[in-house]
Amino acid sequence: MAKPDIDLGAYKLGWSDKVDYAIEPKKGLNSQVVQEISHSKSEPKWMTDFRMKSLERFEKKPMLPWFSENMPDIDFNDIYYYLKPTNKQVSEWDDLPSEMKTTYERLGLPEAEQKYLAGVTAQYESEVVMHKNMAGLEEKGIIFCSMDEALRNHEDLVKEHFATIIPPGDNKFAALNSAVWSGGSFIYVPPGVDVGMPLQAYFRINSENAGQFERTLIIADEGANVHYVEGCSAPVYTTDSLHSAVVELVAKKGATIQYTTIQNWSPNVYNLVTKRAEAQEEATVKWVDGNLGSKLTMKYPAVVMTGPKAHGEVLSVAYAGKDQHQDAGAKMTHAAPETTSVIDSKSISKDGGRTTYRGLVRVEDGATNVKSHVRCDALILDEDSRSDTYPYMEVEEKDARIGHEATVSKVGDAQLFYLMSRGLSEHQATAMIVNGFIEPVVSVLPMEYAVELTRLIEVNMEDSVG
Amino acid sequence: MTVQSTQVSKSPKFDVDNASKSLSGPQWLKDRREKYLELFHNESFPTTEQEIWRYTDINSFDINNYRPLTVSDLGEPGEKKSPGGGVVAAEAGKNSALVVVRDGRVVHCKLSDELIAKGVIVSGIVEAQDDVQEKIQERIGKISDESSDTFILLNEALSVGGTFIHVPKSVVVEEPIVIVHWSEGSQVAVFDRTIVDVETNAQVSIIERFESSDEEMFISSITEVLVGQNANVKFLTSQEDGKNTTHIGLHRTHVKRDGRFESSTVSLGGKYSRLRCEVALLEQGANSDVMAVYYGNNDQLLDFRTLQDHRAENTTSNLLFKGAVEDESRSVYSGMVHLREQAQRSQAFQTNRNLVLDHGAHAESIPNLMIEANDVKCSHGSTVGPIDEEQMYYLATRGVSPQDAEKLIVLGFFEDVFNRLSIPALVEPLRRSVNEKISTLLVRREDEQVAK
Repeated sequence: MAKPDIDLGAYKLGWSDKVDYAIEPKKGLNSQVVQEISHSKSEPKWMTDFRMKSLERFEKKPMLPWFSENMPDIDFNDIYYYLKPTNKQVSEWDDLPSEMKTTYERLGLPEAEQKYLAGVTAQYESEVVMHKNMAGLEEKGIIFCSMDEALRNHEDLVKEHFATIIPPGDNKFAALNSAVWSGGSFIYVPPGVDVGMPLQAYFRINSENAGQFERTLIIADEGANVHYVEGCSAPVYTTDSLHSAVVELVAKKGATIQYTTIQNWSPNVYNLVTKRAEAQEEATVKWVDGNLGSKLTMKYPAVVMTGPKAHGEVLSVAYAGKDQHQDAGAKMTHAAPETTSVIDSKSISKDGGRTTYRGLVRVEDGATNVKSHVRCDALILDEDSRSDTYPYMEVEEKDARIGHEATVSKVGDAQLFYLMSRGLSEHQATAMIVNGFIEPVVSVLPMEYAVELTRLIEVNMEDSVG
Repeated sequence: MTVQSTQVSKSPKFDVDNASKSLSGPQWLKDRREKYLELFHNESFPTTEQEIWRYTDINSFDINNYRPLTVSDLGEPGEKKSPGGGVVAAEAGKNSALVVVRDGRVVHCKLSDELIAKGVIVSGIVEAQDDVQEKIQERIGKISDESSDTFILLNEALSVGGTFIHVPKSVVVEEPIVIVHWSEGSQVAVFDRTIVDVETNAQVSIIERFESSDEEMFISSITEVLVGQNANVKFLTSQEDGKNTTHIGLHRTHVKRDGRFESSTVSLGGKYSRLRCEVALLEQGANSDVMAVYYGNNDQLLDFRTLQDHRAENTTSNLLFKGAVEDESRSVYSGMVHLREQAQRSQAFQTNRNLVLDHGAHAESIPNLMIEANDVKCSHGSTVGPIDEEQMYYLATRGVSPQDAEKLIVLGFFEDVFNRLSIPALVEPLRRSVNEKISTLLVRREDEQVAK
């Protein structure tokens, strides 16, 4: 295997561009900053008010003890909350400024878009800089655009669903996002429509001390089917950046949403994301979550099953290398009868990295005949690394069947020995075992992502073994 | 919601200062009470905001509903008030020593001549001889201090004494040592304490039974156990408190090199019964096996917080907690397996299974892992669910009525723990107690059917 050509440790996406900003960037957060964001976007008054109220909430809400424990160094005043690149949003890669275009080409986006995506959106700092839909998408009645555009062109649809799944008071970082959000995707799929190919968004942070606060809302109407994929990366800096998104999904009766994230932030990004879905009657929501990058990720995708026979699923892979902490998990709320959920979490820690699974399965009163199964497996590859598991179960119904299992282990000596006796090097054997370990999650990814994830983990492994 | 002030010291009812000062005992114990009294005053009462108190009703607990006992209630040390231990002691079968503790005060203590000859000490803490006092001073709080909280501090500040057990090097105690705790009185607060010190290569079995009257009362108990090098300690705790008792207990054990600790807890009684069951494996080769059975009915809340703390390499711990809840009762199992950095080549297993028998009953299960070493084997599993319909169906096809089938399945669910109790002596009486609880369930089921 070839060694990475950029010397940034295992992280290969860590370059930065020189970019001019439309508004002079200011650090720190206050009502003026929030007003300015809203004003520069010419937003309706209800949104400005919503932002201002959210800011109050953010300021009032204390940091939870385990939050401050996880991030003792975070300084909310040392962050740029709004960075607007000068250029207008375009619909072709070629129309982007050349540096930005080169960045996306290096990330392989234009190529992927041509091959297998029904639509793609690229967010750079606070704004979507490129958005392109496949021909025919709009004819089906599918809306896929940036959140800001949706607010301008589909205000009623946005107003009806915005912040209904994750209200600003939900947690401190949801309040922060609600105050300063910018960019993100909006998707509406009409009843009975199957999008077919995935829709993709790519989020790139470029500047030092930048904050990215995108806001995504996906509505799959009755019987619709959509798969949304997001990727993220950022340059490597010595100071910290903050990414705090809010993602809301609404799956109406019989609809299916799959939301796939391959998060590969640079190791100086705090990744604090609130993701929650409502699954109505017979709807299915599946979160597929790959956490490879960032300094600290705290992310617990949730599915609230509000209609009978709804189904929620979280499949996640987390990799924590040097100085990384992946605090990820899942939350399943069963609020209706005969709902089912599955959580399958695989984590790998190495070179002093730390993985945490934190999850909650809750069965509300009245939700009869619920079934839920949680499985989390952790692999610890060396003696400096650690792994924690905090699974919660709250059951208010008698006939719920809830199970949880977890294992923590190292790569088995017998397995290693077996593979090495077949002529593999120790490194190759370890990589093979690790790949087998994450296979259950990788197998549900679209082909290209499965290859990408496997390759990323191999690169991470390679740079540190031997 | 009303917010209550928890300024305990100013309360007319729970006058902790006066009670603490009025208690008699050796000077070192008086000093100790004073020290912890001060610590207690600096501590605030817990709330459900704290993770360790989540899922409890601790916010509505008001210490001022109780009054601490003074010397006039308890009698002077050495005074025998109700010796013998009655049925509770007799049920435990043959014993090599029997201690009866009433309201926290040791009122009866008898050990066989054989044990005396071997140098085994079983004694009340305040009643002990001077040379034993020295040993007690050396040991007291060494283990429980590591799990200090408001209730531990309060227990120390109001310590009436309690029981001290010492098994010297290489001594094997054949029959169990039995401690019977009996508490009664309306709105009283009782403070129980047991210290067990087992030296290198020694072996002993200990049965500790807690029972109380049906009046409203508060019991705080601390049991601290030191398992010496290559020693073997078996422990059985049964909690069959009265139906209005709030019992907050700590059972903490330290195990030294190659030591083995086996414990079983059967928790059936009380209104709110909480037990922190903690084992620290201090040196390599140490191992522990902790089991529990709990069964809640009416509006009981049974609350368990466990810790398997691996502090050295090649240590092993195993935990199995099985419980059933019916009616409006609730159970909480929250456990932590902590494999520290130095605990390489260790193994830890943790299992919690819950049967939920009624619509209004709840079971919370939170099995946590904190793993800081890589060369380890560790797994946990937990389930919450109703009785398996297929099992019911199978029994129905064999002509067993639904009520009988339910009873058989619940008994069968517990049977695998009963079969493995660290000390078999109490299996029958405990099985009987579970049976009694199930019988009330069956009566209720019949009423429900008639109502239909």
